[in-house]
Amino acid sequence: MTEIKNPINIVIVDDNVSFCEAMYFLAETFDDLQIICFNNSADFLNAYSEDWQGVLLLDIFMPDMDGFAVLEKLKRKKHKMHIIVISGHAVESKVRMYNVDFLKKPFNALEFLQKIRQQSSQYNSTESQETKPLAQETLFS
Amino acid sequence: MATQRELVYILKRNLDTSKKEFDEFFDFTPACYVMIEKDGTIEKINFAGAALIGESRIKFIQKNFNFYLSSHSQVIFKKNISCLYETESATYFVVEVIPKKSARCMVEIQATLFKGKSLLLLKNITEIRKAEQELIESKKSLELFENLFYNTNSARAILNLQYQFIVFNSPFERAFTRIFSTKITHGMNLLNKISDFPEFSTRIKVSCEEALIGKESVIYIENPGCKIEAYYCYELNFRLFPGNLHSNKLVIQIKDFTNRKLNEQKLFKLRADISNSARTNALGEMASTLAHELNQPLAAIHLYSFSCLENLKKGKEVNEKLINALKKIEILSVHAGEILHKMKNFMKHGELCTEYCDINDVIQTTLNFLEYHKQEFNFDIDLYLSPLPFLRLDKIKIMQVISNLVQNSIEAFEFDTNKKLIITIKTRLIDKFIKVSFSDNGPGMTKETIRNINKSCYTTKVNGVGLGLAITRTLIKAHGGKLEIKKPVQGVLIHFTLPLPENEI
Repeated sequence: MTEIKNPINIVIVDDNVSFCEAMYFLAETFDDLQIICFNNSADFLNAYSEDWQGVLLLDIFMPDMDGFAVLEKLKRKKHKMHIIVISGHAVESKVRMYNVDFLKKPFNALEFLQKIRQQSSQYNSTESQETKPLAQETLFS
Repeated sequence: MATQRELVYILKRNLDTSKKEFDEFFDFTPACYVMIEKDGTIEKINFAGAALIGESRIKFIQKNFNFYLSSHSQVIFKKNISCLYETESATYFVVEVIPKKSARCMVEIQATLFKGKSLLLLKNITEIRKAEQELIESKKSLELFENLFYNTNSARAILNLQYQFIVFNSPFERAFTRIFSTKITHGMNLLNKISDFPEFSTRIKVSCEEALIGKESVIYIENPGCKIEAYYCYELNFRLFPGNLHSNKLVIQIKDFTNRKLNEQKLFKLRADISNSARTNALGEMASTLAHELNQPLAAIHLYSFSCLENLKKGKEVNEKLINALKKIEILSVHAGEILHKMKNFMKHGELCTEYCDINDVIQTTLNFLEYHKQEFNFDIDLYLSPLPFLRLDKIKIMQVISNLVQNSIEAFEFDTNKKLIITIKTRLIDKFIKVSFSDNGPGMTKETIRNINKSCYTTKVNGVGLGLAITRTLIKAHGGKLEIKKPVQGVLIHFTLPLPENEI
């Protein structure tokens, strides 16, 4: 089996265990995906590093600290992640104010994959043009 | 000569006796006589006459008869007496006598000329006049009654003991024809005529019988389940003919309730629409929270199925992971179905879908749903939940109750101030009931709100329909419980009870 050179790193912050498990199964199906899940915002923020790259799938309505609070904290920090907010609630307009992507749950998996792959290739090409080495100390390395 | 003298004496004595008898007759006859001079001065009056005027006989002597008459009658009296002297023939007239001690009375006078004087025969006709007056009044009343009976819009008919029509007016005829599709005639038997309508005839017969024993009864006849144009509703009132306890007549009055009933139906439909719309609004609130729950399994199902298909497309063998994913799909789809089923039940009218559960858990679950309100509003919920036995509850409906109560507190609170809204929910077991109390530190309710709180469609909110609390109360009632609103010193205190299942008591 050939190793995927630049797998897409997906960080999921969602309190719904079923969704996280399904995303793990999706990542197992596609070799170019690497996934890590956090079931609450606090665990995510504790583990978070500004060097993380890839996609952040962020749920909005979670107990204790919600997605908006996470967005507020990330706004103050540097981050290289492409943030996609996922929610079943009609919060798109508020989410757009943070200049991040929005996906309404349940979302189309194929469209999601196309979107993140496209975004990843754009990012990688920009990175290679700038001849910047990829961050070595990622969570997924 | 002695014999002649004796004869004269006897004659004189006889004459005296006759005169005395005549005087006695005059004095004591029940007819009232008065002898007067031409100018009205009373010369003689008998006892009956004096009694009529109400004075002692002696007091009349030399008094003028005019003195006992009303001013109007004095004119009549003078005119008739002068006429009597002119024509020398008897005259009749009526005057109003004002007796000294009793009520004024109408007196008919027959005046005749007697030795240059007037002999008046008085006759008290007060009672006769009164009776005549009453008769006139009665005739007028009868005329009025007949006028009313025949020309009124109120449909009435009078029947005899054999249930035959004696009289009926045209509105009655019209209403009767519309109900029974038959014309009525005088003397027609009601019960025979309506024997073709077994659905009414028994009821009408019973009502007639009840009315005849003095018991007023009412029945309604309507034509339901048809188009509005053909719909009718009549009230038939059966009672005994008024005024006589032993009356042998029956009055039937028909009132047309068609328009009233149609208006009631319109109002009922309007209320149902409002209630439905309120329920839909309430559902809207619930749906947004339940949709969140529904989206979760759907999102996971989609990801699993998409991944499974991808695995199969790639020619991967069916392995344990794939089977596990499919099992997950199965479990999640069942879960999604349950959520939908509960939502569907909520939409149904009054149907409870109960299961044994802990009210404390239901409260906790609902509060999880309401967490998202904290994004907008600054509030805390303090819980004091005692361990409680399980109850048979429709979880979704009780969640709706709790959600409604919490939202009422939130909506009433003035968040502009620095104060934080604190909602307290307590549960405890009291005798055969579980009592759930809601209180807050909000502005509470005004006297007017408390007064109107139980009315449907009453709201203090600008965009409210005013059915939130009504629905809440109905839902609690459907569970056999009771909702009470108290006015504490501050805020609002609402508590509801839920009965323990029979076998738990």
